Amino acid sequence: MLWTVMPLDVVLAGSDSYRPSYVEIRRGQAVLLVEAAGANAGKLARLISSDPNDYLKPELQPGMNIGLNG
Amino acid sequence: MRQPQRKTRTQKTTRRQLPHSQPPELPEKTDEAVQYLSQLGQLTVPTPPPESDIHSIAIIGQIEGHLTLPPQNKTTKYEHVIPQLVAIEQNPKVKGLLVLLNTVGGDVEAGLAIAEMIDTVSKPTVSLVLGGGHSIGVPIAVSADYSFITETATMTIHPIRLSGMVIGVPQTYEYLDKMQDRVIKFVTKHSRISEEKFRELMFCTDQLARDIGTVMVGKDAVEIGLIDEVGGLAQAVRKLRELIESRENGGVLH
Repeated sequence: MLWTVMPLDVVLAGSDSYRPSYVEIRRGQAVLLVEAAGANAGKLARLISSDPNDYLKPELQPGMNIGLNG
Repeated sequence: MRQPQRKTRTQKTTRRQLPHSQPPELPEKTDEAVQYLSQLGQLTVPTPPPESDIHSIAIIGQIEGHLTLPPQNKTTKYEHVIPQLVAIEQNPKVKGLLVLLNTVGGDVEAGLAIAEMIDTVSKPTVSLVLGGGHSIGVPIAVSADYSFITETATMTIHPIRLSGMVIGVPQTYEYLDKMQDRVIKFVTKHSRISEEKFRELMFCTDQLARDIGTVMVGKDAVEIGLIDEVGGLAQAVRKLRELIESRENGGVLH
C-alpha cells in the first residue's frame, strides 16, 4: 500500500511494461540479484546474504555496476 | 652605508647555496604519493577513507515496498536498509546513526518497518529532514532519538485513504483506517504531538488545494511537537556526538 504525496499515476507509470530480467550471481556467501543491462554487465538490484556486514559494503550497494563474467 | 648592503648580498648567496650543499633526501620509491606524482603528474592520492564511527542512511525518493517500482522512481529499498540497520546495531565500531530524509513517502509497511528498526537500535540515532519528509517519511523522521528539520524542509501529513492503493485487492475503509491508526500510534508515541492534534492536521481541509491534510515548513513541525529542533547537518552531527558521549558515560537515551 503506497502512502505518498506523489500522484499514483506518476509513481506507477510504466509498471505494466517494466519487466526486468534478473541474473543470480554468487559472491562468497552472498547472492546478488543483478538486473541485466547489456551483454556482460548489469546493475545490482538486490543483495541476499545472512551476513549483515555485506549490506554495508560499498561495492554491494543497490545500483552498482556488476560484471556478469565474474 | 655600503657595508650593510654587502652583508645582505652575502646572506642571500649563502641561502641560495644551502640546497646545493645539502641535497634533500629523496622519498622512498614505495611512497604512494610520490609514485602518483611522478606517474600521473597529479597530487590526488587514493587514500583509504577514514573510518567513521557514525553511519548515515539516506531515505530518499519513494520507499519501495513489496512491489518493485518502475525505473523513473528513485527508491529506498527496505530489504537493503533493514539488514544495514542490523549491521549497524551489531558492529562495535559504529557508535551512532544519522538518518537523512528526503522522501515523498511510499509503502506503509516498508516505511513502518524501517521506522521500527531505527527506533529499536540501541545506539544513539538522530534524524534530519532535508527537502521533504512526507507521508510515511513522518514516522521514520520521528523514530530517531532526536529529530531535526531544516528551515525550508516540508512535511506533509494527509490521510492514507486518498492516495492509498493495494495492488489487486480492493480495500475496505476499515482496513485503511487500521493502517492509518498504526501510523498515528507510532508517530504520537515517538514525538510530542497528541493523537488529537495529529488527526486534526491529517484531516485539515484548508491547506491543500486538491487533497486534505497539512503541509508544515521547518519550524511549524517543531512548534507542533512533531520534530525536536530546527537545524542542519552540523547541529545534527553535534547532537549525535552528544548522545554518543552521554551513552558512553552511562546516560540513558530518551
